[in-house]
Amino acid sequence: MRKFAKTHEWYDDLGGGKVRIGISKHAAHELSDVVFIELPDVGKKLAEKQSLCVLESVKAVADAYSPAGTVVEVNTALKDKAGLVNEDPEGKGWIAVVQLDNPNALSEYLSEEDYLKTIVAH
Amino acid sequence: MQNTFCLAWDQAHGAKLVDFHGWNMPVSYAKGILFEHEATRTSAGLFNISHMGRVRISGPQAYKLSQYAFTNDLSKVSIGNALYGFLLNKTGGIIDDVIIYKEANDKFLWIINAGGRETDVEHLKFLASGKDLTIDVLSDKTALLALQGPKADAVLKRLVTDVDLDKIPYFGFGRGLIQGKSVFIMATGYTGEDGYEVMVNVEDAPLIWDLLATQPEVTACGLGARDSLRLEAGLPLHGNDIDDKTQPYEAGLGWAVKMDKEGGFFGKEALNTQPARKLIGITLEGQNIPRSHYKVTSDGQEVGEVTSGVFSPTLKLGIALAYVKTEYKDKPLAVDIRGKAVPAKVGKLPWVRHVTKTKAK
Repeated sequence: MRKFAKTHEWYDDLGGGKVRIGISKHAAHELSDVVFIELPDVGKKLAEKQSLCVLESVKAVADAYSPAGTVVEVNTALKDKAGLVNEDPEGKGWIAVVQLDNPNALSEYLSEEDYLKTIVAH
Repeated sequence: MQNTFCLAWDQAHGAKLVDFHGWNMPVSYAKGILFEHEATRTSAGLFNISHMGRVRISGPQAYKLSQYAFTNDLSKVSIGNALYGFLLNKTGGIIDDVIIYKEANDKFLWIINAGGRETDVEHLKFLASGKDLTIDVLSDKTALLALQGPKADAVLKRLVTDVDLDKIPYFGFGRGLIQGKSVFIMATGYTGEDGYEVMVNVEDAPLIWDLLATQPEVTACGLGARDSLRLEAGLPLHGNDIDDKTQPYEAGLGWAVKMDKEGGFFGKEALNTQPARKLIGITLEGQNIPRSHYKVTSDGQEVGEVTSGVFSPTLKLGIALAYVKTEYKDKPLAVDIRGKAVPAKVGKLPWVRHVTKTKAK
């Protein structure tokens, strides 16, 4: 089941402790016009609360976070087309797959419904 | 927060609204900043800039006040033309950067920034004390629209009557009609493109906005595209690149200051023409975008700060305006991005400027 972080990432449980990570539609809309993404290298080890990658939009910059783990795959399509994150943030605009250090880490994150409640309507 | 006439239209067109100097303004509409930026560079962009202020000074001593409050020289301007310059405080700091349009020998329209609506008028009233003139604040009675880009002229020509746009030079202005409504048309802008700024009565604004926005060449744009366009054109933003603690010469804007003009101007004595820091334009290679407040370094030493930075949609790289200590402006520079010193190239401003209309005298 898809989980969300308060920091606006989504995590899809792929089984075996692997998660696919992207940013939420809300985050993509807020950031708008993403032009560069500093993708992590495959094999990079991420500590808890360490930035997975930096997303640069025309006007702003933001980090995306992952639970602690190791990057096993990145979405190379983003290298030439960072705008995929805006076009399809919760699909083709995924960022990376991470092998979690703690396979149960996702249990601490929010359901989509609870995540959407954290977004202040405006 | 205050709203302009355009709020309902903005909300109906996917605007992302933000607080800009107390105004509820769109950053962009549904298609985003890049689309709007590109549309302005290649066709025509329409901007609601009604948050900016408009003040008319008229009367026997209107010239005297305008000339004394302003750093550029109005004695060189003929009726129907405009000049860019500054309103300074007594320490030479820039209260605002403004354009003055000379309507008659005793009548001057000042277009000021949103953030200057109160401070500028207060300052002008202070300087006007005892003078025979009238300060008429038009900001809430009028709306201000900008139509900018290579096709702006053709679009406006199709819609406007009772004025010959070909007779309005760059930095000139005239009056005409759009669907019978009186419009004040200025060949000025903030994008580096040919185009116009159009002042209309506020009650006519929704009609004229709708008419302009539905022209096939026209894309409505928000403040995000306005910012990336002006930065590519090397134009400073008051509140970012210049402010009441910044002087014109350090911002590289000494060309709009006439130190030797007759009668001088308020703030002149405090001006430093050999400033200790300079505003420069820089570009970064690769996927690095400088942002406001990022530090500028030289050999690991901090020598300045970015005041405006953006991804340039035209150049496809990060560009910025930054202040650096004058003695470092020709040295190798870098921008500190999250702890990494990214080499910066000092560029000649502007990066992008397509203005082809003849220059006003």
